[in-house]
Amino acid sequence: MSDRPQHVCVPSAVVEGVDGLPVRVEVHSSTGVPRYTIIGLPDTSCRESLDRVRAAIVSSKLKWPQSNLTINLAPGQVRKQGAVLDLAIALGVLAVSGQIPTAAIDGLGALGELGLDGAIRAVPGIVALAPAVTAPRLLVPQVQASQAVVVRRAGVVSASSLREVVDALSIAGRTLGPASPADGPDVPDRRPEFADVRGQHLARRAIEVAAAGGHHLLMVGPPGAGKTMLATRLPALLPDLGPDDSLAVTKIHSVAGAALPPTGLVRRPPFRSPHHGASAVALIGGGSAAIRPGEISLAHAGVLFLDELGEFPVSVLEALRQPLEEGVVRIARAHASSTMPARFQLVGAMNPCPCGEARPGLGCRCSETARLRYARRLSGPLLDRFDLRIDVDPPDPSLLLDGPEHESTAVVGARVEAARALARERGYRSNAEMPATELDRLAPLAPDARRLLEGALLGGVLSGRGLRRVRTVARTVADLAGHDGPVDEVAVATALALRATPLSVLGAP
Amino acid sequence: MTTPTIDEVAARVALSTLTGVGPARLRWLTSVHDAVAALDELRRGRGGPPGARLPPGVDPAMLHSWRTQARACDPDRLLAAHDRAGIDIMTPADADWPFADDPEPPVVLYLRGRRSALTTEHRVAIVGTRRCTSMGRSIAAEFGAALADRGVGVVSGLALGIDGAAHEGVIGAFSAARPGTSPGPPVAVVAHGLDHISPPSHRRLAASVADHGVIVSEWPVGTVGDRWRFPARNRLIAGLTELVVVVESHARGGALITADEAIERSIPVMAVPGSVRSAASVGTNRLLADGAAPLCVVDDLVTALALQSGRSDPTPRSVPTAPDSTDPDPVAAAILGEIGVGPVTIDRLALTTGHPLDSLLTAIHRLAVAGRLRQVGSTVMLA
Repeated sequence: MSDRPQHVCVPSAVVEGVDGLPVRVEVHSSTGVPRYTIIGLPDTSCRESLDRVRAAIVSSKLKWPQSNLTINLAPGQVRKQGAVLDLAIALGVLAVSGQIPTAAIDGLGALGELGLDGAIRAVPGIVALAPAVTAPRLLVPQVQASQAVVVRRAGVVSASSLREVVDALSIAGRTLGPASPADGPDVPDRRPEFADVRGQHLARRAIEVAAAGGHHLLMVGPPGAGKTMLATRLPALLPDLGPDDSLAVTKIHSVAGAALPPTGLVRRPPFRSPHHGASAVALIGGGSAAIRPGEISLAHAGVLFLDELGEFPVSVLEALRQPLEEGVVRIARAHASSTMPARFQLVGAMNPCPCGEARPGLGCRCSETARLRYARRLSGPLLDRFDLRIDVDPPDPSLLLDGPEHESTAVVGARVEAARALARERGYRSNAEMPATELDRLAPLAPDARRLLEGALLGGVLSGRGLRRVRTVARTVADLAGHDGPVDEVAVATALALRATPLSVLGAP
Repeated sequence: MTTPTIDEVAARVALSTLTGVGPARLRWLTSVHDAVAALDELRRGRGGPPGARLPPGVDPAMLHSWRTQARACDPDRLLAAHDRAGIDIMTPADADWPFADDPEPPVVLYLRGRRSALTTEHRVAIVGTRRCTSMGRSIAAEFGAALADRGVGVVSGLALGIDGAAHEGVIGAFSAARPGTSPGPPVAVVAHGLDHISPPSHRRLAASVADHGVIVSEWPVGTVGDRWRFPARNRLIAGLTELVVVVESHARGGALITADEAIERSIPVMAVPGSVRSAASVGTNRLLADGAAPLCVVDDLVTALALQSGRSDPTPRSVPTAPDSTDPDPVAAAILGEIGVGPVTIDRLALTTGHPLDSLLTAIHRLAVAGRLRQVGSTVMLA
């Protein structure tokens, strides 16, 4: 027993915000009354690790050492949460008690939760955690091996039980299986079909323009008009995520414990539609124990659909303004602060009034006070973020049954992709990101387009503030038509039509 | 001892402060001889005409409470309070009392603004529902402005919806008036004391009304607008006018009470026809069915009042008389032809005209810039 080390160190990591934070699990053994303590700011779920690890070791036909064990989680000033350190602690305890050779765990990091029977279970955030572990080799739960490989090309090994690990490390000739990327098809492409949206010419155009230009979209219409159906078609029209976005989205979804596709990488833009009962923390991110990504981060590089926008608490809506501006959300708590990606495309839907039946020229059941109160929920600054604002009316019944066939997701999606390529050539991810100062250079106006805009400004249809938005949207409309040059009259007319004075509820009658 | 006339005014003010006293009860109380006598009767522990039965709803306990209040109140202090608040007081003794021939006149009238606004040559009420449509609002504002422009005093109730829109139209006529001309003054009749304004969102509007015209009430300061005071207020609106216009009304509502009061006083009632699918036009359409005169354009009013034609803008904006649907552009002509009948959604235009969306939108916004139509939401309508 003299070759037993007194002290062993196993690299691991914990989640903080949407990133992994390297943690070193140090296990120290000394003579004395047999007992064990864990230090280094573990929270309750982390403190429970020791009981799990002890049971797992015993269940795996191994011995819990009869010595004085101190387990330290470094760095000591960061609060650790969750069961992700279980496996690293177990390896440390087994090494310090001589049940696996110290040399075998040299340079081996570990991530994984242990079951009482010694099984190695998946942990949330593996995509964020794996790159954070500072060790040449990394042991991960077998079920998550394919995801870990995506972010960490070399040295990933996996196992499904503690016994398997111990055997591989202590019996000559046995090794842990190297993890390989999952092959085979990604999730079958089950995008909602755009052709299913019948009638709705104007709304269909709005969705297409929103997809091509990354413009935020507000839809106002009575229940049953098809607002949700339209919103779900927007992400379907967006092109696949680029490699950077794909990794970032995968990381966020992994941390949040959302289901990932079998290949490990999220390739399609996410679509999130939180209910209006959602709290500010659920939407924005945060939390008291550890900072977790909210819906706006889960919608990063995708679409955040807020149905019944008028029913969301005003404080929640106002909290959207900073992330909308910066593309990231900064959350500060007493014990930690975090910056999480939140570059999402906002799609809002609301009824024209609380009863949902207002129409121009026709009555509804709401009093003027109720209507104004409903409309006032959207502050001017938030309303102003919506480049596209349309009324969605229920489609003509005849079109629902036997209208002409509309363009499919594939056809419109190809047009969207071509338009986005034009924006990329100009140096922006999407037209919505074009700064106002660049409009004259990047979105010059054809003479007839200029005449139309001048007329709209003179006639009071358009304000100076709205002018920039209309020009940006017009650029997108022209891009969709394949016109890279000056913006023409059709594009400006379309942009004006897609930013029409909303129904009386959203402003002066 | 003050002069007898002041005494009468003070006594009327004092009586109007009694709790639970409406116009009918006030008239019952003052039917003894005059308000001074009525107050005196109450203070002596009596009340009302000697030997008369109590009016419906008044029980001995209420009468007792009136007696107590009558003894406790100080009429001169009440007068001073109204004076301090800048509120003018009128009674039937005044030469310009506007309710001389009214079957149910108020006992006293409180005013803020110009007394002369109550004696304009022509006065027309524009009333309607609080729960109005945007179309109703714009019609009320348009008629308000057009009447004011012709020197007619527009009377309404300062409520949300149609009433407020009518007042706004009148105020707008003042700011648009050419120098040297004076539009008809706005008159607002409210159901509460003039020390506050209800709804609060109409405070600024009320200030403009008092500035250019007058706000009147039959209740002293400190009175809140209880529900039962509104029908009473509506009778005053009818009593102050020679013609009542109902712009929009649901199947039931205060505007219909105003119309009933007008009919009782043989004052003509006109109603704006509305869509049979609009809940806000059920009441007005019923009025039309019952014989009210339809009001479609401002000229109908001019005819009804036997006015000379307007001083400016003789052709009202929204008359849908054979819209000019001729346009060299076939798409524009098709659009104008469709919306001549009524507002149409863009999707509907795409369906009926068969033109592609691109050319429709271009034509729509060319026409919008030319001021021939406008797009509201997804709907296109004549400008």
